[in-house]
Amino acid sequence: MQISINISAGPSISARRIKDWVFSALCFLAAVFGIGVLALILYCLLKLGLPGLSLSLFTESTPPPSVEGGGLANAIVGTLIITGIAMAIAAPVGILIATMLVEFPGKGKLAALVRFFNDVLLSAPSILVGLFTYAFMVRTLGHFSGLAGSVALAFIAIPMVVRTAEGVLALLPVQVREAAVALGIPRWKVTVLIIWRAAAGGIVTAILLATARITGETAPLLFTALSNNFFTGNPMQPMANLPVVMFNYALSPYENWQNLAWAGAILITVSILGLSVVARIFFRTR
Amino acid sequence: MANSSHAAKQDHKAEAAPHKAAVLELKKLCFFYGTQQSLFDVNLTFHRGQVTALMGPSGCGKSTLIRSINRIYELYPNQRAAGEVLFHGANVLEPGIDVNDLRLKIGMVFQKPTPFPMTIFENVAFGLKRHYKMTPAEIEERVEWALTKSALWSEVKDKLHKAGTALSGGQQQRLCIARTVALKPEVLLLDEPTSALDPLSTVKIEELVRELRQDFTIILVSHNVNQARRISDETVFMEAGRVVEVRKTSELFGSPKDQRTKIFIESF
Repeated sequence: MQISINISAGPSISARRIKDWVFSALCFLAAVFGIGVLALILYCLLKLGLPGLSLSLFTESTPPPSVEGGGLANAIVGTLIITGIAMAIAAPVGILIATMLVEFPGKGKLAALVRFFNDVLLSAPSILVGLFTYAFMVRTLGHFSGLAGSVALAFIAIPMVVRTAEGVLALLPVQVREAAVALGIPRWKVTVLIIWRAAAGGIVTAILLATARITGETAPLLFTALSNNFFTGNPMQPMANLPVVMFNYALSPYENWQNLAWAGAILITVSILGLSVVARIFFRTR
Repeated sequence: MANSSHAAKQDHKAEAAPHKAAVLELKKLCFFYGTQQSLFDVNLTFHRGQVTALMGPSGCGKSTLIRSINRIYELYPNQRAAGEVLFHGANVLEPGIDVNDLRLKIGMVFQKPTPFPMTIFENVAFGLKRHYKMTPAEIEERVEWALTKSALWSEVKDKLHKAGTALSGGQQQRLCIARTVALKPEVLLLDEPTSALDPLSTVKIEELVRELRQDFTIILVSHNVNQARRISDETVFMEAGRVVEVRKTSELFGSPKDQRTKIFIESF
């Protein structure tokens, strides 16, 4: 009796088991595929980029085609300056917007509108931001410049800072806010002296992650910073930078340029990875 | 602002002598969360040098009541109070009032300890530095005074420059009381100050409240009947946004007049 029940229940149970197994296997395969692609990229990057890594990469500027030697010093410094200025604009603006959204939302209608536009900007194609900056800044000034590149990158970084910083500020216990206000301290001082201080770790994380994101952006810089074969520290001039140099050199027929493009790719990857890791450590320890 | 706070200051001087002067008077106080009314025509008087306990079931409006006295509810745009809260005769609910000045005179301590992300010393000095022009020596003196008043000085005097968040929950709550007391307010609003604490810390805070009564007018929200009985001079029993009974604590607990009060007390 019991046996016959087991047998009759058998097929449906094993069918369920098979479905369960197939589903798990698909999830697993998808994960392997995702990680595999990443591993392949890193493998390719290391294989083609490592031979080009040398000290001269940091000491010499980009060489003429087919001339041995040379490095990426002008592009590295350019990227540092362009990214630095971009974040000097994006960090304060982004933090202030996030503060407005969390601390001073009023009745909430304006905040909802700002949040909506921020989301739109967050998903805007970066080439659009580049074209926009070209139209209003490069054409107005009459020439390409590192500064225009910084402004374009700032437009990309601001919505990222806003989104992350808003999340961090909203996480703070409401009681801390109330306790400070109950001491008779004006709202803006409470925000600057207590709320920002309490959220400092998270805010730094927001800035680091946005920095990591814009370090590799290429499209906005093509229309704005352009590039420069010579070393310059002047943000009012066209400026060499890693992504655009990589773009130009990788497309070129010259082997030494192609090698430099791969070396530049390694530099960018390592610095983005470094920034992300530091950001995560920062967020955890605070 | 000018008018009302002037009036308050003059009153303050004029009536330093009489012991049980009315400091705060609520007249027909109503409160709204959006369209939902949670206080209905509350009339109450709070006297100097007394601990008044507000007691009642959860949601009866006791926290809401003290939150309207220092206008902390204004942090939330959909909350609104109507009626009068007279502080030395001036209605603090009027729009022209300087709320920061009001909150300097009417301090508040909350359910959960909320140390600021800074050192113990800085926690207490924070409000002082923002409100008064004091020399560093004066600030140090006042911090020590406040921490002593709050029965915390002996425990923290050797680690004033450690983080306030490193203290235990009970110590943190006394730090929050010290932070408020340091400003020398006239009125202390305590919103269930022991509900997040262990029994030992609770005893310490209760002793502290009895101590502080001599210098401050204290309004204590408590959902714990025994606590109200232990430390208050006068008890207000509330239910569903209305005051049911207000009497001297010993009388209210000895022979409650209202049946609802009786049932509530006996349920503990």
